[in-house]
Amino acid sequence: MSLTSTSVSTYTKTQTATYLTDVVMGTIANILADLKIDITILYRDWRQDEAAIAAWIEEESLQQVVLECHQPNGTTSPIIEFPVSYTLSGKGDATFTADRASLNRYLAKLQQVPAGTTFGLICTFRKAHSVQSGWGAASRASTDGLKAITFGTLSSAPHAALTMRYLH
Amino acid sequence: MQVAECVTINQVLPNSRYSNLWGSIVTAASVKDQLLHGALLGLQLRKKLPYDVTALHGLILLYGPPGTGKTTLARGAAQELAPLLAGGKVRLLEINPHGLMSAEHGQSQQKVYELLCEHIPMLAEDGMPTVVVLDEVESMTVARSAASLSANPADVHRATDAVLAALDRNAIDHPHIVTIATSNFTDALDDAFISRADASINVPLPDIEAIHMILSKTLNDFGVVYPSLVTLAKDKKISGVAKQLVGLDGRQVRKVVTNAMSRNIETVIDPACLSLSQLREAAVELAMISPQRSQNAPV
Amino acid sequence: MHRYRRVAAAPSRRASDTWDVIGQLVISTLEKSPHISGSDVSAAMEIASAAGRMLVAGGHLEKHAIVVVADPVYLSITTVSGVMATNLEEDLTPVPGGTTAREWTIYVPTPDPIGDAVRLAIMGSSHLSAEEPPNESTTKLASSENESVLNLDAITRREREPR
Repeated sequence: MSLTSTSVSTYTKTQTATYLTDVVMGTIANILADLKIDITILYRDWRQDEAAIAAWIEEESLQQVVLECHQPNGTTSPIIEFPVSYTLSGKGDATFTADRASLNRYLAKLQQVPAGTTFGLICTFRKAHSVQSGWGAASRASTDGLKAITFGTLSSAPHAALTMRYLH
Repeated sequence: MQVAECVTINQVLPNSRYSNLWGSIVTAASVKDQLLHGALLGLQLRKKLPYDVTALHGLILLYGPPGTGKTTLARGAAQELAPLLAGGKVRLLEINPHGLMSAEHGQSQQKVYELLCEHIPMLAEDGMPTVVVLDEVESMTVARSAASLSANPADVHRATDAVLAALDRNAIDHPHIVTIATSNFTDALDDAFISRADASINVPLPDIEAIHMILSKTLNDFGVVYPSLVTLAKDKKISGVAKQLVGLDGRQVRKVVTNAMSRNIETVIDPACLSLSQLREAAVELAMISPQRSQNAPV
Repeated sequence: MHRYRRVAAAPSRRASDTWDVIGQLVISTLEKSPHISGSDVSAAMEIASAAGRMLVAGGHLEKHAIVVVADPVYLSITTVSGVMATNLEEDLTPVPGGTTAREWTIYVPTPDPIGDAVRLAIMGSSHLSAEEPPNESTTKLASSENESVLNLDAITRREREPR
């Protein structure tokens, strides 16, 4: 006869927010590096971006983080979206996963961009959200004419999950 | 079972609790010399030269019948080493891996590797010379022979792989760690494990002289509380008792003294009354019932 | 002596906080040496922080260590994320050996795809390197030739004692 015991650990929304923020920021860094886009501004604003995204995930107001790549000829492409979905049950007993291996394979297929391409980060919301330092109102670039490829679930945490869409 | 729970001793030596261990084991001087010299040489060479020069794994294997003092010698070696090293200290870690070996299917290998390659080095990461005692190592390193495959679960064989990988890695990464493994059944050990031992030291059953010394020492030790036993220890006829016990291990020999005391209520009440004849009777009886006995000499 | 430290990342800490902890560990270890300025180490870690946060957030430091070589210190620092981070028993105390260090270099890994970005980010300090760290035995040989493990006096006395 074998005896087993299980334990359920409950995690907090803060932990969920911290985890998913790291994944989205790390993925953005990987994508920008892979596209050879200058990421000096990402370094410079890292703490404020990290704090804002984590706060918005924790308060469940964040709908998605959008990475827009602005080419020298005025085109905005590619656009990478990171939609956040929130767990209805909110029990906090699921675990933390991130599919980095698949992401790395996916990144290898991304189209390159011309030298001089810059980037911008936009966040969209599903409800009223807190004001965060360094973030002001902005509008998204049009996605008309862009083809969308869905990566699927990039990361999951007890209270929310992160997916990724690539538009080019 | 958590990996950390497998570490049953974590002690910085010297410590008075361990001061008698080395001396309590009566065995050939060459056995103790090989053990101590092997550890000292390994610690010295492995610090100065890379593994591909020394081929030293920092592994010493003590093997022999049960009850010959292998585990006590391993622990005692750590205490003996401490004052002989520049820092004057040694950490003693003792592992009981049996809980890991019965872990959930497929986890033995991972947990053994985690124990030996991560947890032990973490405990020793301050660089202090560290002696790791792996007692009855045959439970972790079964021979991966065809015959063994049918008798042991695949998990156990994978655990052997983990031990070997850990030894190879620690040989390079942690030259300050010496592992002393003990085994009662060397036939059960994997050849690759034995091959990695820097020294394989046989700790045999005591010969008649050693048995005499064990008896005398035991009586002398009791003599701290019962002084008349010190006189008994000096009796030359103890050698006759020793003859009766040839073929027994040291532990059994020591137990003859208390076995003799228990035979009469007078010696139970006052162990100081123990006589030579009582000792002789106990020896004769123990020798007759012991399965290890190989010869019986008349008194 | 190769030593290891593991630092809890998300969900226990954000990437920038994780890097701060790594930085503090390196600073507290090296500043023990009278030959090393704590502020110099702090400055180097600040320069490396741009790369460091990316390495943490991207999960790269789980597999590729930050290696601090300051003979006799040889320290590998990695991170742990997920559930393991919440259970991790950290040891963030300074690594022994720093008191005698003189020269020091912090080797920052350059995994794909952020290798070039890391190299660019750490160019500002001569104490930061994107190269592979030297084999630990190489540094060990350079410093240990005259150090004995053995207490020769004690061994001699022991050999003279009657058996």
